Amino acid sequence: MPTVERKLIHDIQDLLDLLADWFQGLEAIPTRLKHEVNPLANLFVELWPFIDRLLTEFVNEDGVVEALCRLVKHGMRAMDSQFVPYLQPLIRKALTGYQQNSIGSFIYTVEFSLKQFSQSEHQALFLEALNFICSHTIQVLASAENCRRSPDLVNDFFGLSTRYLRYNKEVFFSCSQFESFVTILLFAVGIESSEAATVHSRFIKELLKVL
Amino acid sequence: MAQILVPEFISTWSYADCYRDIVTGFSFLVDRVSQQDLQRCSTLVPLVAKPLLVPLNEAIMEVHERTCADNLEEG
Repeated sequence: MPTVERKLIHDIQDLLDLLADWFQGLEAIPTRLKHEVNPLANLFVELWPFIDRLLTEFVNEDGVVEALCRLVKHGMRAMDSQFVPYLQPLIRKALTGYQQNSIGSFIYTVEFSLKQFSQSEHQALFLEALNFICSHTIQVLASAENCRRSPDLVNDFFGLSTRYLRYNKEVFFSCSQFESFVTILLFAVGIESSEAATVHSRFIKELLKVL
Repeated sequence: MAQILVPEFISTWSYADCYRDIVTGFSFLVDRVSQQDLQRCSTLVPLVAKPLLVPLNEAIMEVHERTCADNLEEG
């Protein structure tokens, strides 16, 4: 990619990170709301087309996806329940993105969404997401060697799995891709990255607790 | 606020501490206002966020135009 475009992409990343910082500081807004419209709601109507477009056109730009993921995480927290209309499109977009560019940011998007919206009315959506992620991840992490080469993905995959166990174990155990899941679990045994190994063992501990 | 948050100025910002501090400061301000008066907070939100969206949109458009031009040349 030419230098000018690289510079522009870096600028996009920086602006997304600044917006994420701005949302991160808005802690009090959701706690103040009772029945009022969130003051961020109108802004999100304008912001969503940007998010949608970036997740389509810049899906292979890892830095942009990472920054976007952080922006959505903080935006979602600040919007609280008024983010619900964007939840399904976001998850679908993240799954499509993951299929095109198998990086952990897309898995992490599902993870923080699950943390925020683990209630029963979204169970079907999160089950669909887990099934999709397992069936795709088994192709990417198809061997112990692949797991060693992609420690970040192993980290995010088992981070997500732990979150499912903690917040919605019924959905986790309803996963139709459970066989793929166990295969990845075994491939990742003995992974060298200490961070990924920690998350992997934390998941096993969590699993043993609920079994 | 309008004197600092000028889109042309923001378009020169990077993700450096000085600019992060400005953004975090405005975030703190909006958050504090939300605790007193939600209506006033609603009027402040676009004043801070929109100037950040303008250069973002311009950068996206420029990448898009350049990519289209490159594709045409290659095609």
